[in-house]
This record gives sequence, structure tokens and C-alpha cells, in this order.
Amino acid sequence: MLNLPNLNTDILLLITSLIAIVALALYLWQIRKSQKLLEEVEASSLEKIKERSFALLRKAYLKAQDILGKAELESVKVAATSRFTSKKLEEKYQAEIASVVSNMEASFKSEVDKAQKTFASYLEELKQKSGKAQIDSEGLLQQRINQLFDRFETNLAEFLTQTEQKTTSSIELELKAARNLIDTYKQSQLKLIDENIIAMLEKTLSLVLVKKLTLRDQVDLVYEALEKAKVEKFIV
Amino acid sequence: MEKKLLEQILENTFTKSDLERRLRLLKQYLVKSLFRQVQAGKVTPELLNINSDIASDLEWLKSLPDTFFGHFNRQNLHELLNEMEKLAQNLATIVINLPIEFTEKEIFDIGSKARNIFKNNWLIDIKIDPSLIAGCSLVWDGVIKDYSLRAKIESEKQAILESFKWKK
Repeated sequence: MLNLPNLNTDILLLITSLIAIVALALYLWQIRKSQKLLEEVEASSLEKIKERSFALLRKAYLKAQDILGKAELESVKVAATSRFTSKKLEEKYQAEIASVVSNMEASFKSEVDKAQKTFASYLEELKQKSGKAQIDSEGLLQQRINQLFDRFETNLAEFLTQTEQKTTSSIELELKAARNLIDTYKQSQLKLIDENIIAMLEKTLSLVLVKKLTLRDQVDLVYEALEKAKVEKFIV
Repeated sequence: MEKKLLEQILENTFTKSDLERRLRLLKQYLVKSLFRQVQAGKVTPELLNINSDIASDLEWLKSLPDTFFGHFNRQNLHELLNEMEKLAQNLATIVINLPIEFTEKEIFDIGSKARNIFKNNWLIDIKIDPSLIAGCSLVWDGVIKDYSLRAKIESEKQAILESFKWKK
């Protein structure tokens, strides 16, 4: 709660006190002055002075009383006014606060309702989205699984085809190599047989001709060779 | 002169081994005849106790005329013979590979025939190679040429083998 009325009252009291003090100070100053006057003019007319001083004192007293009374009145007035004002302010403030509170309550409530509604709608939306996402992801997953299986099938078929081709080609290569080996062996064996035939023929001829050919025949053959060498210009 | 003397020797000498042998024999004979006490009458190899494993060598020695021996004396004997040996070493030689061993006569005939054909005092060198079967192979200047039956069979090998195969 605000202390505004109290503050005004204090200020007023303070002012009033100050005025009283000032008045008192004036009073005392006046008294001092009068005393001085008295002292200065002591010799002359003390009674006059005294009367004057008493008159002054009285005037001052009256004045002070007047001032005090006015000050009191003013202070009362001010106090009353301040009390009234503070009361009014208080009431106004309380009314304001009550209205503000009620407004705030109302707006808070409406905001809360709004937020609740928004949240509810958000939850609903979220629920719908998650449901949709779940459906979509299930569909996607199914699609991916199908794709995977398709790819697996294709790869497997390719692999099997390739393996089959490789196996076939390697078998064919092996067969070809085996055939080549057999052919080579056959050729080498045939060559060996041919050489053996020739060797046998040479051996037979060497055994037979040694007995059949005379020395003269052999010499004739040498003559023939020498003639050929001359004709062929092998020996020049 | 050495050349002429050598040519005289080569008239009846055809093979390299014969020539070497005959030159050795000649040297033996000449050394003994020139450096022993000279006797009257013809000096013969038998008198000088020279024997040769090959009878034809002695015959050849005896067949040489006196004029041949007249070229030799004590002073020039070794020089002449050395020169003749050098000339003999430089003579071209036809190497004849034969399938069997021939007698002296056949070798003489072959040598004589070669001289007739080639018109040169080349020598022949006989070697034996039984694998030739018949005929011979000749080696001249490091190159061999095969004229034997073996070479003929080798060259006609395919035809021979074809003739052996069964005809379908």
C-alpha cells in the first residue's frame, strides 16, 4: 500500500514545525532585540521600553499565536485534505487495482483458454501428422523392402548367370587345353613313330646294304658325290 | 723348288695321312742315306733298314727317280723338308666321310678321281661315319654337304612315310 497520505502529513507537520521554530526564533530574536534595546536605553526610559517591549512581546505573542493557529489550521486542513486525498487515492487505487486484476484475470483466463485451445489443436494436429507419418514411413519401409528384395533377386540372378558363364567358359577352356594336350601328345607320338620308322629303315638299310653293296658300288657313289659337288660348285 | 718336289710327291699321294707318312719316311730315308757312309750302287730303303707298315709307301719311295733325291744334300736337307712340310700343311683338304672302311686301292682311286675332277693338288682326308649307310658326305672349307643315302632318306622322309601309311 502506498504511504502518500502519511507522507503529506509528515511534510505538513514538518513545515508547521519549521514555521513554529521560525516563529519561536523570531520571537527569541525579538526578545533579544528588546533586551538589547532595554539594555541600550536602560538608562533612559526603562518603563517605556518595558511597555514597548511588553507591547512588542504581546504583539509577537499574538502574532505567534496567530501563526500557530493558522499553522494548526493549515496543518489540520492539509491533514484532512491529505487524508481525504489519500483515501480517495486509496479507493481509486484499489478500484484500479481491482479492475486491473479483474482485467488481468479475464485476459489471463482468455489467454489460458486460447492457449489450451491452441495446444489442443496443436496436439490434434500433431496426432494427425504422426499418424500420417507412421503410415508414410510404413509405406516407405514396405517400398524399400520390396526394392531390396527386387534388387537382391536381380543380383542373385546376375550372379548365378555370371557364375554359370564363368564355369562353362572355364570348363570349355579346360576341355580345350585337354584337347590341345591330347593333340600335342598325339602329334609328338606320331612324330616319334615316324622317326622310329625312319630310324628302323636306316638301320635296316645299313645292315642290308653293307652286305649287298660292293666296294665298287660304294666307290661309284663317292664318285657321284664328287661330281655333284663340282656341278653344284660346292667345292671350288 | 720345294713346290715342285712336293708336286712330285703328290702325283701318287692323295690323302693327308699318306702325305704326312711319306714325308716322314722320306726324311728318314734321306737322313740315313745322306749322313751314312756312301756305298757304291743304288741306295735302297731296305739297305737302310727302313720299314713301313704300309707296303705301298716303300713302293712309292722306290718309285721316286734319282733326280728327285739329287735335289737333297746334307746342307739343304732339313730346310727343304721343313719347307715341304709347311707347304703340305697349307694344302687344301677335302674331308670325305665314308660309311665303311675302304681299302688302299679304293682310296687311291677316289683320290685320283678327285684330282681329275677338280684339277688341283688337293688332298683328301678319309673319315668313317657308319650312319651314312651308303654314299658319302663332303666337308670343304668348314661346310659339310651330305650326299649319302641317309640324307636322301631324310629329304624323302615324308614320301617314304606316306608310302607306309594305310590308304583308305
